[in-house]
Amino acid sequence: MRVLIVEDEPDLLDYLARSFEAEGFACDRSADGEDALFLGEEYDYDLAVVDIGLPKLDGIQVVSRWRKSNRNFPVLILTARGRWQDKVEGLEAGADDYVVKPFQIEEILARANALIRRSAGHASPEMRFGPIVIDTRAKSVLRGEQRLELTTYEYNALEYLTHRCGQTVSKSELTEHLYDQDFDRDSNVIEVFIARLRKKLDPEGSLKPITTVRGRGYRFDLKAEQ
Amino acid sequence: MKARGSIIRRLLGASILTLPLFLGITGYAIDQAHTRSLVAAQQSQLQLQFYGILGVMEWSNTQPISVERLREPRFWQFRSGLYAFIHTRNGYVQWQSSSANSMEYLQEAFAPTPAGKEVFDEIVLRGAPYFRYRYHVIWEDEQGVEFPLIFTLLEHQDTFRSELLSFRKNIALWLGLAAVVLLLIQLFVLRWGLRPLRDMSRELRELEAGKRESLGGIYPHELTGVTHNLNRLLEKEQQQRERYRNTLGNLAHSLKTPLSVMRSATTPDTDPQIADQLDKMNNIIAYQLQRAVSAGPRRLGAKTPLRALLDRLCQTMTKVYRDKNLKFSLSCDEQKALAMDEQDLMELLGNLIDNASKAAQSAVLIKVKSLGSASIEVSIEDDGPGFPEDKIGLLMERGNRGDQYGSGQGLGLAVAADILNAYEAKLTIGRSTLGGAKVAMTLPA
Repeated sequence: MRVLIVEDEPDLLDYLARSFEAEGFACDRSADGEDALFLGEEYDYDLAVVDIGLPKLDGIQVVSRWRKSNRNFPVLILTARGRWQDKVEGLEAGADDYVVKPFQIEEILARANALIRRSAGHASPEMRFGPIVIDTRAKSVLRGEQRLELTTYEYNALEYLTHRCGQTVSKSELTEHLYDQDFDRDSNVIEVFIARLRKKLDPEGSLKPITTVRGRGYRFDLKAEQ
Repeated sequence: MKARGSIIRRLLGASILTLPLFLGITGYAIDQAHTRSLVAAQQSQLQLQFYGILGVMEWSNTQPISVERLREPRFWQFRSGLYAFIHTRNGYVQWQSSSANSMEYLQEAFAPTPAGKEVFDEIVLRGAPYFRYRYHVIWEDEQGVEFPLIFTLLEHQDTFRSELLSFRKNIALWLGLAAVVLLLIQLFVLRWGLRPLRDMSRELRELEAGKRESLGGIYPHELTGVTHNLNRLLEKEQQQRERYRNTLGNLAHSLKTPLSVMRSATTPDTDPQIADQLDKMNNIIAYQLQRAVSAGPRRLGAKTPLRALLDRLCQTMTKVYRDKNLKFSLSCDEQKALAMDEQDLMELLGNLIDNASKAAQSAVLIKVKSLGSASIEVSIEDDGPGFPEDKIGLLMERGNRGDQYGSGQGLGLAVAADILNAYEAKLTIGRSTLGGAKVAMTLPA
């Protein structure tokens, strides 16, 4: 999952980015409103965490202009003021949730995960695809009763594919959402992940959860159960 | 402050008091002038009658005086009111007009008069007023013997009096009419002249009632100073309020961002004391800043429409609590408005609806109803577990949480209580028919 974090206080920006990266997110950082506006309009993020009080262009305007440019990724706003006026304005501008500073990082991560899940149309944090159950809060995967041991990247690749189940996801899209901008895009590491995922999810080869669409990418074919 | 009556009433009262005085003096002066002119006319008339008698009188020292061919018929008409006598200084009548026959009492009017001088005056005889004209003539016969004769003419004042009375009635009628017309004109002029003040007063009432934000009318230059300054004062107050809020917002941002950094560097497990102190600092900052931005009651300025604000809050809560799939039911007229600052109201209702949303299982009910013209009751209900009966008294204190179900700093109810206190508004906490808590407030309309 690729997240844009916008915060003008360098230490806090670094802390947020490190916390998200530790959870397996790919993070882009921005320290002012204009830069954030550009990044959001240029790249397709899975989530943006935006502080309201930003230099050059305030957070509410950034979110509002993203929405006007049809950028529909979920946005979590951070507000120091905590007034309902600010929260309401932020949410009316297009943000999806808010957290008041100072925050517990666990709360931010939980809300971020919930927003990503909701944006993919999953109401519950537990997604069930036949025998495969993905718990987005615990970031764990069960196959039947068996808990699967997935690396962070494997889990993220699986979650991204399941959020777009039935759709073909290109290798470059998957790379963009799993890795930072400076990742070497020619690497065939995605193929390795997918191969390992297939083996872990479907050791007998009977389920075939991930299909390779020749020349276009991968598709998660199992249907989500409500 | 006690009002000192209307300006129009005061000015009209003064006019009603002064106008009769002014018109009375005018009437008296006109009456005096007219009376004097009438009396002078009477004198001229009697003088003419005297000359008429003198012109036709025949006299010799051997014959009695004869006055024939008098043109004035009233001298021949019995008791006509016009009488003439020619008599000696000792009152011996030499001639009298036929009109004075058998009216000897009229001779009481005879009086000595200086020779060659006319005397005109008034006299009352047997209760009746008369004008009296006298002239003392010295007649000389051929031998040079002088015969002093006094001419006394009397005219009853009946006609004079009735003419004067008729004039006085006329003048009183016209002056009365003039007074009414003057009062009406004055009333019209006052109403027209004071119209800008009335307009200003109406606009001020609208301002107090929250129907407008400033005085917008076009006023005469005597009032523009007041209206302009009042508008500037209101504008400045609004700007100051905004600046104050922005400054406090910036202060919040400046304080809370470093707090976030400090918190990121500590964890409750490794540095429990520091984490605890950071939490306390955060709570103090959050609470005091929230208190400081509360504007409190406004005496002037527009009211805050309630429906639009509640709609916005419900939409916000629907978004924030979308996982709970809450149903927000809102019962509020479009016209309902409160005499409260918009941000205070949003903070108050935002905190309470947020609390209800956290507690609710599936439904939040917001009802608004008028309690007379001065206040409106807003109640927020949910179908959650409700407040424990024994804790209701403690709920409004800072840091006391009414819930065990969600996030927050326990400030919501305390901030709401502070705003309610600032507006001297009442809050009651009870149990909803939905099964959960019910918070009802009586707010100024």
